[in-house]
Amino acid sequence: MTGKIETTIKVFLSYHRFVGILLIVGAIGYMVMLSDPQFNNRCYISEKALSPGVVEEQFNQVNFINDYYAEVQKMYTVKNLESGKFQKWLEEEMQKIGLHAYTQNFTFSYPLILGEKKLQGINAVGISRAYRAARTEALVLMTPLRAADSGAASHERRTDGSVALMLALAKFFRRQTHWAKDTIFLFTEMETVGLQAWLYAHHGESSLLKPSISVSDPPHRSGSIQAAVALEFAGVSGWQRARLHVEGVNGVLPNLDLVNTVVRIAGKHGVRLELHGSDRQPALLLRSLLYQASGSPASLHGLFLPFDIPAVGLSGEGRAAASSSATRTAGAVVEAIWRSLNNLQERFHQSFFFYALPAIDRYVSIGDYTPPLGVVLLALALAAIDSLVVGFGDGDASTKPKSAGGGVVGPVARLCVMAGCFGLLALVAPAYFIRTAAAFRIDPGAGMLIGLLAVQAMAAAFPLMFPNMIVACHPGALRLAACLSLGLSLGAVSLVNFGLAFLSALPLAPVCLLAAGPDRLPAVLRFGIGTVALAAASPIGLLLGGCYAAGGARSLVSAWTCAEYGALQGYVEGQLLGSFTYRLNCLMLLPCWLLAWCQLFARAWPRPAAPAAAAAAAEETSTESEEPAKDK
Amino acid sequence: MYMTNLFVLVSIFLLFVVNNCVCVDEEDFSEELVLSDLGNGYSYFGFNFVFTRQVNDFNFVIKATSSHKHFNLFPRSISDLAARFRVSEFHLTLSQGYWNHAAWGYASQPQPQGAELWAWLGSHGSESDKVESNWREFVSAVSGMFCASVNAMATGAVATSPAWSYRPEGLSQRGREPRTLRLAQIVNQGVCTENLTPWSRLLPCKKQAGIGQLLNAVKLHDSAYNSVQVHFKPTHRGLALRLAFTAVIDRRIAQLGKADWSVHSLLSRAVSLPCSLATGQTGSRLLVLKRTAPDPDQSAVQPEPLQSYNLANGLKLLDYNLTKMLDDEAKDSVDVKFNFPWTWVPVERLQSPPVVAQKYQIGTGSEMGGVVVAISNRHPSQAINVIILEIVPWQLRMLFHTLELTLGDNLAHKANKVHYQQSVDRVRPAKLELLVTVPPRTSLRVSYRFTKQLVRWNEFPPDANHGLYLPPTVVSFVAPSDSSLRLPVLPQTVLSIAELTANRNATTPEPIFVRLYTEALLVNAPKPDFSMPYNVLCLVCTVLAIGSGFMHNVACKLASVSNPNPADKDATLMGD
Repeated sequence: MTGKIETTIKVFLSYHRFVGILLIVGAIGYMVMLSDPQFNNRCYISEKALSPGVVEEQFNQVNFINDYYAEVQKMYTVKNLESGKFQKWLEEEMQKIGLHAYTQNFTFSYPLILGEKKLQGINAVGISRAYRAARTEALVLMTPLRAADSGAASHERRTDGSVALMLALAKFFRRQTHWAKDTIFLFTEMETVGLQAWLYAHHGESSLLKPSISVSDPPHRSGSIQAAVALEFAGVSGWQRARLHVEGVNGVLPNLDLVNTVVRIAGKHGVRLELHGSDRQPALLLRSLLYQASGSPASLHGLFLPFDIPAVGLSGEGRAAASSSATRTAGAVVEAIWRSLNNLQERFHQSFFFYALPAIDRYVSIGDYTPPLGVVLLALALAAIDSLVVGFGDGDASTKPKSAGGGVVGPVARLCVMAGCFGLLALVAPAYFIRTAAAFRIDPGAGMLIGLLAVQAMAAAFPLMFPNMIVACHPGALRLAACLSLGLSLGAVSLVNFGLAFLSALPLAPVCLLAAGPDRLPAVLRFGIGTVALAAASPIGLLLGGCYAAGGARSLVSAWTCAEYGALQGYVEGQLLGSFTYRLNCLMLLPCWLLAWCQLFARAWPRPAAPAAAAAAAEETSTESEEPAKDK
Repeated sequence: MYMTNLFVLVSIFLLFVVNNCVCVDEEDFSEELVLSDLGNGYSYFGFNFVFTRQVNDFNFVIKATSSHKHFNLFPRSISDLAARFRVSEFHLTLSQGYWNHAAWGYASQPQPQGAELWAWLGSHGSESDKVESNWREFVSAVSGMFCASVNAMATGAVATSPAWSYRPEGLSQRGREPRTLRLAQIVNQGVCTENLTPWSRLLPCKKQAGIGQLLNAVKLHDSAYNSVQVHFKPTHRGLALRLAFTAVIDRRIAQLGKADWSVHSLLSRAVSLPCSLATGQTGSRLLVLKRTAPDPDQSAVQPEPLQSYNLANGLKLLDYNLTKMLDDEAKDSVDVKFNFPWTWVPVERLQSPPVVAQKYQIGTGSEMGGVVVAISNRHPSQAINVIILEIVPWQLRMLFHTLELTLGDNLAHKANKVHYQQSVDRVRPAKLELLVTVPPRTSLRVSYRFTKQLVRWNEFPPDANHGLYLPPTVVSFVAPSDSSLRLPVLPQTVLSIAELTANRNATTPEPIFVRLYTEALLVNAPKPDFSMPYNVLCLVCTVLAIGSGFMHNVACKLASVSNPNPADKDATLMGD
């Protein structure tokens, strides 16, 4: 009886590659299916205290916005921003309104890219004290300061509209009696650097930013921050639609209730809200996952999320004719969001923290989107089980690998360590690449990408340089190590950044499965296809390919530039924002890829007949691959 | 004959006793409203209702005797409360909002956000072991009396007794009689009209006459800071009770930035009837405190006061005797108007008081947290000794070894004296008192770290995701007598006008004892996900544990008698 079951299992496992590929295709199909409205759910408000849109907005002071906008237009120049005059003006305006306002100086030095140069920046902050509360809780409304350059290209990136809107709201909020939480109006310079400086200083941890950022202590503070909204609007109403940004550093998402509140309020006021600039269903979900996978914040709001502060970003898109009703709506929408947040009795906790958004008002819960990844991992697990069942003995199908003699774990472990070393190299080396590049007057991004390509090439050449290390490994054991390490890595990553795990699983899992290759194909063909597929699935290959696809597959040059930027951004964000996408790519994906790559060579090269003949193996270093290895 | 004499004697004796009982306990009541402009658009309203009761027998406070049951004005419920639970002095305050001492100066009786109750309980002889139960019952009684849900104060996990920061304010009867202090604070206690109503019922004229008429709850609770207070203390003549209500109204909000203001414009009420029961020394008064130096209060006050006094510390007191004004001038009502030239001074430009304290939270994550208390001495030349009291709830375990005192830019500093008591889970909070000298023009930074404990599931407060409150730090010190500093310390009660007028020309103001409270902090404490899946998981795990535990025992354990030796009592039935 048991013999029959065993045989059935063995027969099933002999098809594990076919089953695995089917599973992976199924996972992709499942994910695509999830983006269809039939398979996902409409968002709902879980925290009843929020009651978005229930209050009647009182904001009607279009003149506040227009007056401030006129002044901002005059003051908001690159020169005033750099000299700090604009921030000083903001501080004075906020003090006039009756806020506790201050400016905060910070210096930013990043020798790797900036050299000896130190950048000075100034943030302006105003705290509107809740009238009847005791400074225990706060909400943050922020906008980055970007000076209005002449030139149409920078039009979209200007923030003069949100600066004027925030000042008007500060004046309006200050006169209202129903606030239960302080509002911190935050104007930060130098994008993430200024915000990072303020956030760390507010949390009293500015020493952690050293040596790259040094920042002065804020003289006024407020209590624990409950939520934050980042605004980026060029012009007070001259935009067509608003874009909602949710993904934060490392793909952390704000509580779905916050997203939902903003969406509902925008809907109530007839503001067109979009997500990732797309409406088409599977594309939007893919973009959500891509944004998450990048580990880079979708907008400045993303920096709040690592501090356990739920936050979203709103930015204006497109151009439209300005109108005073649109201006009023902008104020009313933010007021409505604030009134909703003000109602919160507890921190955001009711709704989902893990979700994927296939549309702006629909969600896929964690319970629905993890199975596809689980299915992919199952494919890897089947391969691992197969190699266990087939065993590590030479030629005999012993199911007890341990009794088959030593020398199975050792070589594979050595290989794993070597693969890890390559990962470590890719992690540590960019600093040297960039410095070396600077000596040759090469762009840091280009220097880094070339360097990484070199590391990748070295990793690819590793089996050729140390063939005996590969040959010493039992192909089954190597397959087990490759599949297990990839599966475990993806499983672990999926807990913190699902997008990254899923999107890297899609290319890596099939190549890892197929690297050991179907036996029916001729060796040369198998080896050739395997090499190309694995090279494409390598982290660098994915980066270049992704950039090429994102650029509409048009120009290789722009793809290269994009990849340069991507690699450098990943590395710098890893250092400054604590994003771990780059680190994970180096320490998990690259070693896993290398193991899969070695598998390809292990199949191509024969293993010495007896495990005891290790010495003979050492002599065979120069052996060429000529005959297909025997599987059984 | 003999019988007659005896009868006469007895009647005289009785007469004496009865006389004694009825006439000795003299009571009086006076009321006042102190108005002041705190600058930058904030108006201060300080209501004070003061009761005194002369008691011949000082023992009264400790022992209620049947002879003291006649009360005219003094609220009997308060007196009974004190007598029953052997409370010789207590201070209850329910406040909302934060007294911004950096901008408004020191309050006469600053109060922390939420509820605070501190009391001195008699601990003489046999009473010493009853202190705990007395305190517990006293808290319940106070809680019921003022409709405040402060019962949690009764538990030792909240109440504590600081060594230095709080001293008795009243005279101790019989000299050095032992008393025990209990202090409890509940930060998130709300204040509203339901607390004000029972409080105002204690007033002899209720809200019908006198300045009680101005107690418009809707307006007074809609303020940047308001506080309902009960202060009960023994005096050299008997008992004193002060019912106080303090409110700070922001005119930017209350009248949309209109600078001129009057009592009527902010409270929508005016005094139309004098309280005829306010027969005390000062009767019924409306007082205006104006700053004359160093940055004079610009407002012009109308009508002209009947009297005005120059006080120490650059303050001027305008005195309006309501009884007189309403009687003499046959007016319908009395209102005081402040005509104010439009000059908002930003908070940052105001000259700040000599010692300013700020408390804030540092650190991120749900494992550890930290607190910084920054105290700056802005006096140009004088070092100031401050007492810092820090109470940390047991849910946040304070790490004493992380306590750091730094002066200015990272100069290590040492406390002159340290009193520290480690918290005991579920039993008492941690208590830290420091006596530190802060040099002039220097900022002292006291910081420590704490670990956030994951408490038992049934110990989470309602709205567990709101977080835990860390009570405000109490900073006590004696402010230097230096009139060049802006020191708008409002006298607690100006009922001692005689005293004030006596030294109205005093050139050297007296040093003033100040106790100030910093902000309270809301700490994001770790908590499980109290949702349906969490409950289901807990239940399923419990069922599995019971099931698998039983199966494990059956499957893996062997029943055997291990040691038949009768001398060894540890014979086990079940073993591996």
